[in-house]
Amino acid sequence: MTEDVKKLYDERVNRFVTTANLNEPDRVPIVGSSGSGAIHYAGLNFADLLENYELEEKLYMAEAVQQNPYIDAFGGSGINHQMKIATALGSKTFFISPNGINVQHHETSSMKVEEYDEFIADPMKFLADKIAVRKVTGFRDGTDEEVYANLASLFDKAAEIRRGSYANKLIMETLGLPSLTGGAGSGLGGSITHPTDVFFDFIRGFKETMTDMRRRPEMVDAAIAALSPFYERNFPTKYVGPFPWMNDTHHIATFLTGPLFERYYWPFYKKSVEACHNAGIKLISVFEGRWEQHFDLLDELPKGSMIAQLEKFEQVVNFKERYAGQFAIYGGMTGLLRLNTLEDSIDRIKKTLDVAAPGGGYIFSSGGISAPGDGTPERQEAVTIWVYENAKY
Amino acid sequence: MRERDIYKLVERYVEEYFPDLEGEARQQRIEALCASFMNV
Repeated sequence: MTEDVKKLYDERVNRFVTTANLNEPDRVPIVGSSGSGAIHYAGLNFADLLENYELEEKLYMAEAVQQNPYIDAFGGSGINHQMKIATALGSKTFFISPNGINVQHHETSSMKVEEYDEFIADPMKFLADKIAVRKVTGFRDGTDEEVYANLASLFDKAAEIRRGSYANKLIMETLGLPSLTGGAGSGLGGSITHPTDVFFDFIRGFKETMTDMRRRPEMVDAAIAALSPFYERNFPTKYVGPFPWMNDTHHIATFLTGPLFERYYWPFYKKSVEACHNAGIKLISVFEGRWEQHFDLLDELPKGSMIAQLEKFEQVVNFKERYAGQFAIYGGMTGLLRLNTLEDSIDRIKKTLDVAAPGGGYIFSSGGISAPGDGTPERQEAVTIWVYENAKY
Repeated sequence: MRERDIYKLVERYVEEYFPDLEGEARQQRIEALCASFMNV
């Protein structure tokens, strides 16, 4: 990083840190983003990037260069390379959408109800011997030596991915654009995974998990308790603050009623926020879907420890009313680039800024373009420039 | 469905590729690799 780039980087980081500490910086910080839509608008498809790290880096670097004059951080670069390995070994978990740019996954419920005790006794052995074998034909068919070769190939390629996908690092070093959570290859920041989401996403599946929470709650308690120590290893254990931060995403939380959330979700979540807070960093919590029913519990978290990434304007209003001066807000702009006209998009931004920006604690992002129907690069650029020029303190 | 002792193969992989790892570090490496099966 050159001296000029480092100066720019420091200014940008300071803008985020000031905001997250619930003070007013010079202007509202802007996170530029580049979802899968960038693949479409570059005339590419997902399969092209899967084969070529350089192409991936070029694509996201071009996006970052274009947005660079107006933004303070860049997010959203990087694709799911894991899919290639899994598919090659006969897994049907991941598939490319008909639009050719998004990757989705089939829900799998690989653990049977009668296997709870075995899972609880040793979750990682169960994952290897049961879940992996059921999902991957390359772990089922052939001799032990052939299966071992498949396994070694899976792990080797996963390591290659970690080495190969460095778009965020490149963007940070050449443009001075930080990634809020460090980014691949930076060795900083990272993410926290909730064990209840793991259980829901990969072990028992949506329907079965929701049923089990009511019919056999003690078994679900025990399963989550058995998984938790492995995911607590992602907690920071020493002081690393104040930047970059960590993030988490929440999958099952939006579907849980208050009592279920308090029982199965809140304890680990609270612990993760406190661990980040004790390490001096913020945790960006991506509150997918409806979270209003859980907002009251956030009173138990340390002031300024968490940044709520929200989806809708109404959530921003609700959250700011409750937690102004307590927690920062990020986003709230889902659907922004899909609105009929640019004026409609700017009106929504104005309304949001009027509510969320006073006193500091608001980070803007247009939400990016995940699919062609989400908006155009022109609209994204126009709203970004508008915020850059107008959202000043 | 055929049962396989994949866990033992993971242990073998760690022994071959990370021969210097011992004790808790070795165990954590095995468990991290097993956890990665969720993403396949």
